[in-house]
Amino acid sequence: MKRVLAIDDTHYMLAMLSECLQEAGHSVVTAQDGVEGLAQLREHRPDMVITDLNMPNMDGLQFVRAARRDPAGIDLPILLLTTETAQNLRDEAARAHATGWLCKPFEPDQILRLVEQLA
Amino acid sequence: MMDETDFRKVFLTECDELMGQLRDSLATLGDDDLEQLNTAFRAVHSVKGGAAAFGMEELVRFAHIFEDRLAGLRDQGKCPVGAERDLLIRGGDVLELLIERVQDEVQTPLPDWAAATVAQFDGEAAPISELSNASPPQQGEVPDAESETLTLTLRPRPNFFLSGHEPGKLISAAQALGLTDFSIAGDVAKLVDLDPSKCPFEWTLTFDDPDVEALRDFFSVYDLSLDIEGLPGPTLHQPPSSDRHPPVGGSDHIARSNRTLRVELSRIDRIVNLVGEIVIAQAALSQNSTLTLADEATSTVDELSRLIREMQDSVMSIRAQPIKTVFSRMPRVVRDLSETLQREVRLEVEGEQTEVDTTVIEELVEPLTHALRNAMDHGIEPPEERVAKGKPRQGTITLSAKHRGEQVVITVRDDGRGIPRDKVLNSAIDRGLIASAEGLSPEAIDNLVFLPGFSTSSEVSEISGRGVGMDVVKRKITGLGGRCRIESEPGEGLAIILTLPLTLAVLDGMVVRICGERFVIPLTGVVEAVRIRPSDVETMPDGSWILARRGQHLPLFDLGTLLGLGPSSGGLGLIVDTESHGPVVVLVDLLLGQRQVVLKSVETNYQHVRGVSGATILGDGLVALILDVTALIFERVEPGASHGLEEVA
Repeated sequence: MKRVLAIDDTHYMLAMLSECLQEAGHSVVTAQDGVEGLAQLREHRPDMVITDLNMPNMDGLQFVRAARRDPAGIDLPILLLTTETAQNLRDEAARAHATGWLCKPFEPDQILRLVEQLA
Repeated sequence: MMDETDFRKVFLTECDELMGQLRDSLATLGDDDLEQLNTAFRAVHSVKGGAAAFGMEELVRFAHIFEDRLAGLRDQGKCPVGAERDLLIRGGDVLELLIERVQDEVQTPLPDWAAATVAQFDGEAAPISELSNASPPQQGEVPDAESETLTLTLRPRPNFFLSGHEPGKLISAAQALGLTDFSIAGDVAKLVDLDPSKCPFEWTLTFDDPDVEALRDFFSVYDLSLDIEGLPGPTLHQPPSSDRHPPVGGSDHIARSNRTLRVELSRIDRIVNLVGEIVIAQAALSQNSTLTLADEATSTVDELSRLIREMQDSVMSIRAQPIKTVFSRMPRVVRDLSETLQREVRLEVEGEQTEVDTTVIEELVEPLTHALRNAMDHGIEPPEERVAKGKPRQGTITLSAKHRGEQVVITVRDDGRGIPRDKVLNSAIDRGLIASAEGLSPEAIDNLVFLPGFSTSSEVSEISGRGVGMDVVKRKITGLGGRCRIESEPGEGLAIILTLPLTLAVLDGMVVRICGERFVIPLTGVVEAVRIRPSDVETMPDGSWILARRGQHLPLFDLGTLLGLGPSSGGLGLIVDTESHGPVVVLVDLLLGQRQVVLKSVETNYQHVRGVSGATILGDGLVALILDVTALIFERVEPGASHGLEEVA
């Protein structure tokens, strides 16, 4: 069982992620933007983070950069889950030290497999 | 099917590109800029890989020692300076020479300078023992369909650890996919050299009877920080050559994000020509007044015209290249000259992504080099003089390119002395009054710095030297259908402004009738069309004409007479900006309209004809000559150099 932090500004995305992870026996913490995500990260010390890219207040890339400077997130697997495909964004994600880039739509199996693989 | 010679050709084309990258990165090697060193390394490495595949031994040998030296520097994290950097730059020259030798199949011994450089490299180079397994790259690692095992090589990038990956997790998770063996590949650095934030080694993973699809899924999440080689199917951003050393940065990915296809230029030229023909045919269709089309047909023809125009644009964009290919050679020119001329100069480059037709790009190297040389030699003062003048010790030369309508404007600007021009001549040029100053030999005044041997003229002794090579610039640029202009601020600096057509294949022109013949005047120079009343024209004592218009006095020329066809009958004039000579008015009989025309060379059949820059086929299938108004009016016939129009027309 792993503890996963899911960050997304849309409710149904959070609901879908939570459902699929919890069904497989993982525990899920959620946040609606990067700022809240950072607070949850420090409080709950998850094993892995799955975050959206475009969010208000603090976007996914900013979150990754902030998390990498935080003891709670420095070596954590952080997946970006997004509809964006632009290469320059991916390059930026690599530079920000994001663990991986996952394009929406996702399959529940895929998410579960990645949790196994990375966390 | 491509045979080996085709691949060879592709490789050699690629070498051009790689050498551009190499030049680029070596010229801009700055403090702590390991990325540049790494780019240089990758370029040399790719040359070596390809050369090995084609058995180009001489090239492989040198690329190998060159690459070793670059890798050594990079691994020490040290940017070369001074002599070391010079050696690398010379190494680049040798590599370029070796590639040319392969291209031209030259077998003779190397020239002395190259041999000396090679020897210098050899002096400290590592043995070539590992060469055999370093190349040819890739091939052996892609399994054939029969194979039951699959071997992958994983190369973590420097951000692998920093991105929250752990090799242990990867390996244990991979076991579920049939991982049977894994080992560390490549050299592992000594413990003291290890950077704990970077993954120091590569692995080879062997899978038994793998599900390739699942493997691809499995590895896709690592693509931000891991290069994988040997995985069949769509690539996971794997580099084209087998890069044994993990790259220092990830910028090579940006370059590869747009897929490219290499095509010989001649094939595209053929398409360009065909499209040109289509444009002509289409013009014939829409211009033919005897053809009465039904309404529906008319709209279809309109639609077709639009599509054809679009097609033409797209075809042109295939041949477009960022002007960077030329600009990238310039830092080297500046650097070399700084030494010989004892100047301190900083080169700034703007707009290097501006796209220009390949045919234009190729012709730009020489004039730009000349313009730069001129700016350094005669514009930028020696450091002491600059300080005395209260200028920064280091001079600045700005090289910029931008689009303006259907043209590209390239500017070479320096902050040096400028031209201390005589004020009278200056204002005469600025106001375009030069034609009235016949006694002063208009060409000598007009073309001033663009005239060959201008600097020796006693009248302009103050500015001696300015103008060396500038005639070359002018000749080349006008040869391309472009124009050059100078903006000078005495004591402050000088700008040489080159305006060029985006392409040499098509131009927008004004079709005019002169003495029953049709001609095309390129629209780039045409300022406006005017109706000319005899009362506005004054005849000067020498018989030349001046048109008074809105308080301006413009020289007036009869194109019919200049072309040897007799005097024009109409009262229409076109104001044409000749740049170097200011605006002039030319008399024509009739304006037939503005048209896009396809440029056909007349030089192949008639040599260079003064005043004619080409010919085109008009909508009705008849030929019209494209006039170079400036040359027609101002260039005098040099005996033996060119012949008059009469012989053609």
